[in-house]
Amino acid sequence: MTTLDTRPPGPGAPEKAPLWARYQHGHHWRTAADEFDACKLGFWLFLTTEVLLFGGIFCAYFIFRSLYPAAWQEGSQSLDWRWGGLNTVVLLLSSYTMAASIYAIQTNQQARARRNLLITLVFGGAFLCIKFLFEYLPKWTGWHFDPTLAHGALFHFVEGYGGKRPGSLFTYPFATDPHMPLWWSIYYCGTAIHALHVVIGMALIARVYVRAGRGHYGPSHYTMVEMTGLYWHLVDLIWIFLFPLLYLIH
Amino acid sequence: MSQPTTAITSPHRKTAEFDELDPHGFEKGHAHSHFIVGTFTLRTVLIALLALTALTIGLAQFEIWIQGFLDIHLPWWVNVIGAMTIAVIKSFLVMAFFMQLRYDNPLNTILMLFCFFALALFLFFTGLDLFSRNRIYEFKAGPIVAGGTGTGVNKEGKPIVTAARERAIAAWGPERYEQIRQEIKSHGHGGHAAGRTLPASSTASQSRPRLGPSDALTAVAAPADASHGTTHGHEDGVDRGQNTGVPNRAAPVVPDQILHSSPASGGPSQKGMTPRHTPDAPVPSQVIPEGTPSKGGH
Repeated sequence: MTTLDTRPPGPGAPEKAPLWARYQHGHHWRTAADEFDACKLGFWLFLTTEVLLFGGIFCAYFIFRSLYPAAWQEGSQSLDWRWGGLNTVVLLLSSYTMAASIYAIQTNQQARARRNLLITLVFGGAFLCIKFLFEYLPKWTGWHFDPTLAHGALFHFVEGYGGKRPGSLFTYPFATDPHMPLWWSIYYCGTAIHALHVVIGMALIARVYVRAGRGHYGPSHYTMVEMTGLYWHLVDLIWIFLFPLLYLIH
Repeated sequence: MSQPTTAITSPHRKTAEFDELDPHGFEKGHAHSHFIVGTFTLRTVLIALLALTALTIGLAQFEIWIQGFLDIHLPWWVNVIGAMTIAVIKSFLVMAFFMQLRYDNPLNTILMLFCFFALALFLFFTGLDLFSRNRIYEFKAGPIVAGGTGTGVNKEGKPIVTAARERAIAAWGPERYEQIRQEIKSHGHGGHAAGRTLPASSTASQSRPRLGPSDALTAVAAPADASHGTTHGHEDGVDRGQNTGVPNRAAPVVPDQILHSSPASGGPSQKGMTPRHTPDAPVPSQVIPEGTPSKGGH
């Protein structure tokens, strides 16, 4: 047995070679492919824990929907499927651009990869804007955001609309079902944890974008891009279930 | 870990028969290039996902539409099963192509499938518990009160929803309260059913046999006569179909000892809390407090 490192030298590559071409995998891996596969396996393990995290929320949804179906019906009627549907489309498009950026990295189209990463980032921001400005803000406070300035200002207050808050924060005066605070708890819990994942995913994409600009990723090394992509697709995956459960099933 | 400088310069033995870096031949036979999913595949999948999104929205809207205009009530599972089936298909598309499980090491797929199995176990045993309590305890065999009883969540000594309503009425006065209510209902602020009078509503929630623990939580025994029983949900003039078709069930006998956590029946805190009442007690007036103008149907 020998621990002698006989790998071909990474730093020995030509001086001008981009960073990804000079990347050397960890010395405890036999090959770069092994390193990549192990990273991916580990990341899928992490994704299963993410699915189980949301699984708890789905389970709570299932329990309380079974116990208080009328509250769930009233609840889903107070959500607008148009915002939820728009956000679904935004996330699906962002998933596509993420996958497209991995394709571009694999085929060493650096500019195209960065462009797609940037679009993904913009879509993620759009999702959060729609969520917070058009859904959370009016439901929580009664203040409506209207970019068309139909009411003379960017924000206008609709009396009696707000107060749809979780649990004991609930103050909406026109609810009929005594379990509406429970519905809003499930709604905010599910969508806010999902929104947190969007924020984390955007931070990862931003990091990948910056590093891609420095030439860290290319056809022979793009582990970080792939893992970020998997995370972003999981965010999409969760929303694929949250959207019909909250907005469509009535 | 410092590497001996000799390591860098020493060439490793690699012939067609034997690779010193891969003595067991793991890498032989396949060059181990990562699979590249082409843009055509990705675009096709994206279009399929968008089409399925449109389909699931269309399905939900269609169900509301045929209820309102044709008065056809689909059974509850059409809505639920339809939406969930489409969601599962969409998620499989995302995992297979965007997350590349189709081209990947099958170990990752097995891992994910096992995770879904665990999730299915959670839901299965939860459902097993929720829907079979009546088989163990007689007193849990009655119907769940529509909307539950609301005795679990209290604020200012009342259910939160009631407290919020009473606070608003106190602040605005009953006329203004009713006016704002009509404005909000009629100006399309109400979500996907906005601006429309709901038909007798979806059967999604109602037609399922509801057996479970709520009866054990109620303050008082169930009404002997279902006709004035669960009035909840009618206060805004919209019949949500809560009571339609509910047979006149015999009131489940609730032993006194399991009611220790219940508020005293008929007390002031009881108002608006539950439409249930003892057969010999007066019918609770309504969920809406007195002083509120009567609601016309709308």
